[in-house]
Amino acid sequence: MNMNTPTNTQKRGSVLIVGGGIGGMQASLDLADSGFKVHIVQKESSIGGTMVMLDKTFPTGDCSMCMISPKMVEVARHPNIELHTLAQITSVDGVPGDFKVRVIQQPRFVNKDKCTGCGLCEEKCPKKTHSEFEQNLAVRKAIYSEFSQAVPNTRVIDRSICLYLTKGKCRICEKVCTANAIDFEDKGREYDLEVGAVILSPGLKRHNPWLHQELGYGRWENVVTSLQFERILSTSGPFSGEIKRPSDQKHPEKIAWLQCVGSRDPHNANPWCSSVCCMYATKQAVIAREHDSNIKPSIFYMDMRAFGKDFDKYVDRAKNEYNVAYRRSMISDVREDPETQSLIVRYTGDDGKLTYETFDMVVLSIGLEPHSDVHEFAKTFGIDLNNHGFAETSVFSPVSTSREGIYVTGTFQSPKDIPETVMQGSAVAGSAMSLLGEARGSEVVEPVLPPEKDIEGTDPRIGVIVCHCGINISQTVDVKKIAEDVKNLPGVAHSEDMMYACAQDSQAKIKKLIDEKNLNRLVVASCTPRTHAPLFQETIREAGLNKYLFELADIREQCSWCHMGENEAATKKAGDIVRMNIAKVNRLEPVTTDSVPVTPAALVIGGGIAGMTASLSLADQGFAVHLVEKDKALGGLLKQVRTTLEGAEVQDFLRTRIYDVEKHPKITVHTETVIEKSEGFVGNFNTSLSNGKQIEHGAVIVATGGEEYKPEEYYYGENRYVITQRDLELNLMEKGPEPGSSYVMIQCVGSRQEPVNYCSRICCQDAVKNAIAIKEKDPNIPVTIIYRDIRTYGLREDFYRKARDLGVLFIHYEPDRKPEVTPMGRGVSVTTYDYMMRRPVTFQADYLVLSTGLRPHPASEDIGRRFKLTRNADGFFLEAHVKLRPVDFPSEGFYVAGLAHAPKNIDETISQALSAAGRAGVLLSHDRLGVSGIISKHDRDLCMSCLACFRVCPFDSPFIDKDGKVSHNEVKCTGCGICSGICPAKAFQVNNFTDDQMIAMIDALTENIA
Amino acid sequence: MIVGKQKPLDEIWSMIKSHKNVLVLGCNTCVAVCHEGGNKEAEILSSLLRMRASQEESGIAVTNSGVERQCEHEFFDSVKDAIEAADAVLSTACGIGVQFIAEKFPTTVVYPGLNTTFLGAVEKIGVMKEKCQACGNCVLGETAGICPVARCAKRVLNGPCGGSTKGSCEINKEVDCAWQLIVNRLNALGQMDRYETLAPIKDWSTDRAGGPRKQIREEIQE
Amino acid sequence: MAQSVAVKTRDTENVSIEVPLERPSEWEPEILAFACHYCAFAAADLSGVMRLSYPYNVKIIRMPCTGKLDQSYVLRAFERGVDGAFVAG
Repeated sequence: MNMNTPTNTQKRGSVLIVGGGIGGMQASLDLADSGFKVHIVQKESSIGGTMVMLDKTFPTGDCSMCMISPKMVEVARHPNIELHTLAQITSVDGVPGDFKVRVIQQPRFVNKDKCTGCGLCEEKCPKKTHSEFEQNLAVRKAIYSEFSQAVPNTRVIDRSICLYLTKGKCRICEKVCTANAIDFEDKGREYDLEVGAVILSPGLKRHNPWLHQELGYGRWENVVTSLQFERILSTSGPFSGEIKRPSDQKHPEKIAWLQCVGSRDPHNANPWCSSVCCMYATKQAVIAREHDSNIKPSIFYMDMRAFGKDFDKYVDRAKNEYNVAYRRSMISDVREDPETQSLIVRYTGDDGKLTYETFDMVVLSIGLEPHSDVHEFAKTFGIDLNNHGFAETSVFSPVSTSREGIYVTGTFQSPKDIPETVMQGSAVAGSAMSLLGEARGSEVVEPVLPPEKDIEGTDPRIGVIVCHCGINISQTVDVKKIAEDVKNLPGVAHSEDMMYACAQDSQAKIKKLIDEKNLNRLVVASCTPRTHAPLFQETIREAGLNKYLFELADIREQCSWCHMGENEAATKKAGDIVRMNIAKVNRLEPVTTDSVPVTPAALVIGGGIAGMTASLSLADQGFAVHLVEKDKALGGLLKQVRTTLEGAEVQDFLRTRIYDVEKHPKITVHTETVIEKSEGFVGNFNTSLSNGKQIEHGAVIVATGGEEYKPEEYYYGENRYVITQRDLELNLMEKGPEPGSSYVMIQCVGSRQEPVNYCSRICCQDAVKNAIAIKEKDPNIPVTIIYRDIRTYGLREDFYRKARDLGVLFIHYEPDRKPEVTPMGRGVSVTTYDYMMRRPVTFQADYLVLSTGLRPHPASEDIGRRFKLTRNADGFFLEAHVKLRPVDFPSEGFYVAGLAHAPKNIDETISQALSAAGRAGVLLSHDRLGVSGIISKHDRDLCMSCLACFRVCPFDSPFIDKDGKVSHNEVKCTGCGICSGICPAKAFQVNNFTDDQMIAMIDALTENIA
Repeated sequence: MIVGKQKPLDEIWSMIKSHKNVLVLGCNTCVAVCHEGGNKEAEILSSLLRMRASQEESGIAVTNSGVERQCEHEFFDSVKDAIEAADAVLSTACGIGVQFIAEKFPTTVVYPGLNTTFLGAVEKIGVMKEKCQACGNCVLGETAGICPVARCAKRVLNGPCGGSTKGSCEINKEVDCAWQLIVNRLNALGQMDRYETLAPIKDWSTDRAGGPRKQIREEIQE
Repeated sequence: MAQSVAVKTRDTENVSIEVPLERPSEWEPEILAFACHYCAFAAADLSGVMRLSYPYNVKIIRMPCTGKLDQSYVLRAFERGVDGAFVAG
């Protein structure tokens, strides 16, 4: 398959992304960073999706908003990304590479060009309603932003409740807005966009638990949904992170989580597994305990589906360190004790008897389901849905919809967690790049800038602008006084106050000031540098100043807003903040940013399905690929697999893919070859192969794969009737099941227990797949699966149900009571403890089939050492960030895909391979790689090569050079400054954060301390 | 590399507190590598001393400076004035640097900021281990590259002694028995025959036992 | 003058630490926070956005990462009279 199907039309260098959740944002940033114009269409007033509502994320406990908020800011100010909020698509015409889409945009009633995001309108608006973002646990106004960090930061008027729009009177917002941004005449608009490809990332909605009256949601106040509990946990949520129950705001002690609400329930709700609830419930229980150690969490579940990387270890920690009680039991109903408003939960206890237990609070782990308008949505885009209402995709092309040129990512493809959504985000970006490769760069504009003024040798002439921000700053801080007070400070050449420093006309005024007053540095005292510094940096750059000669003094978020009513003290503090920044700016120097060339080629290590898929995608994007495989032939572990769970023929697919790789003009395949030596850094690697070839490349994709565990348990290898699932699959394909025979399968052999305490993810499905194959051939053959938890997550749950319907027997075991196997003349006898009957049961079987799981490939160790890539305790490669950078390595230019990263299924491996190709494509699409301005500078004269920096740098940017001394590779540097903190010789200084600048700031801030 | 460790602040304070004007002088070579006495450490120490002075309401002025190496004459040119202006110098060099200042500046009081601990290697960042005792007569050729003089508590030359237990020294479980290491390595190198050879009584005259040592390289001597 | 007491540390070494001084009433400590641009500085922004108030004599210096913190900055701040340094990242 050549992924790049030729079409007759000229292709467009732009992509439409429908849905700005984390997956859509990842796709948009990847595409925009590699020269494509991106349009994000978002139904809501802000991008962010589901992730912004979450408190922390599993299994690392990172703060969700802290991770996503910088991404949102990046999306908002990316020159190649255009946001269309409150908008929906109504039609899609055209052909792949050249689509025309119709956009309908609802009115916002606030002019985004005039609005400064000050929020005064919201403060003064008299009309309140329940906040959707806070899951009805708090209120919002009629003019509002969904959440504090909303992007764009323009309020929106809810026309269904706005007093003026519903009753014709009020207009208070209009009166208080000093920027004149309120526009009640806004009628919305309808317009067309022309794009080369479409990416669908609309996400899912959450199941409505009100449908399950027996669980009491909507009836009993202290029954909350898991998303409400996220908000309760959140420090920025309705209870400021204090765990309280809604009815009386008391601190609950006993909290029960009920799993699978709306999931795995074909009769009353959705048949699929929502994939994320087991883990988020575990996380919520852990975080709740961290907030309040009196809490006693219990999780009621059917199967604990901790199938992801390091998830089992997380659950173990929850059990052992946080005393989370896991109870394998379904709840029949929840009633309220009217006196205490606590909840009485009815379930079958460990002793098999009906039990009533009282909890202070109950959390319903609600599942995910497609939006209610999904059929209309699918019709608009002309794509097929599967029988559950998710986008129809195939195992072998998991991000392509039924319509060419339209891709799908995230939970609309199937339920999944954040890293897999992010992974697919880069995968669709990679796929769109393959389709539109030749049009890259055709629709983006490079700004033309005047040359930079040389300020060397001139004394600082600093301009200081103090902003009122309407009244946001000036009602608390005496802005004029500050502007006056700093006039005579050293270096200050001009100082004034402005109503809105960020407004268009103010930018023009600042440019004029720089010119007229011959300013060579600028301080703006207004809001946070995190969102607004780039704007002013651009402005001074347009005025011919180096953009690093600027500093933003945050006197709004960090002064006026948190010291309201304390005007005198706030003014004093704001003065200190401004003086501190002036002291720093006096010492700023222009920063020149270097760039290095990029070799537009990739080295892909490993010729399994991950390596081949990544190679093809990159080659289709137009980059040269060297695919290195140590075996004689391509194919990897997949050579041993016959069919997928869904019944697709693996070998046919594999043959085609190998053929496509081998005949692709851009791909050079090196079989029976290993890496001998590799040098260089991101964009510029030079690698020698064992076949004598020397290759230059800009990126490395590590797809070293895995191998199947060869069991030592249960007489495997000694007794011919003990086989693995792979042996069985082969037998079934070649001969079919033996008539009159019987099969017993044991799950988790060599997985999920120390020292291999992880889930191999594929074995439950392998067992179910083979069991179904046997039963379909001969329903009379007994098949028993002895399991710990059946982990047929997502839409795979269909097959678990099918196996049960076909009569496959499932029996649960616990690791402390493993099944016991006795070989017999023919076959084996298996005894296991039955928890339902509460006694041991024995099965005679002709075949004992072991589900043996996956291990990282031994070659990973060498590759890891050679390239200094870290692996986790289990030997799988460690990605740069578990949630948001799932295919990147911490070292720039390296990407990981497939089993080398963690056990996963074929479709997931393909997604990740496309993702790695997408990420590598972003890098390789640049002719030159710009070095960031805020980096550490190394002074070789001061350095004594003590290696402290070399040892502590997380990015390996200091290195031992050919003279045997420490040098610094600035391309790899992120400017964190750890080197400068540790260096005993003070040989490192971070641009714009040098020691003299920092000390000057400290001195300025402490000037007025007695 | 010479390894040192900063003296406790109390001890340093009691040495310098009677002075008016103290210069903390860093040495930017060996003791900088072990993060104890480089220019940066001198800066931190002088800051700590200034704070101590203000707590004790003492009028003492503390400044800091540093040189590349306090064991060579020429490096002192840049700090000569500062040293002469101070009424005491607190050197954060090893003992060599402290004595060098004493020799060069006969009228300036000098104090050691560090205890010179041993000759060692950087095991990893922040961890230094003793490897050599400068005995002047190297036996490493016979002992598989592991020094029994520096690394055996008893300096046994035909070891191990009876205190070697499971690879550890009897003085402390955390200390490897040097002789166990030697045997292991000889084994790995296939040189166990060397272990059979008895080491003769060592000539300690090249060690400190022979008095202070001096060494001249005649062809480059000025 | 500061008083000290001897305490045992983890490595059972006797070290002396200062006894905290009596806190005068009306005393308001001056606190300098060193905050990472990406997280703690962002959190400080958020507290402003949420209008959460805190004492105004907490002032924040933005760092590219708390890894950039140098002991000398903290010491400098103390020498210049701050009462507490808060490193957040």
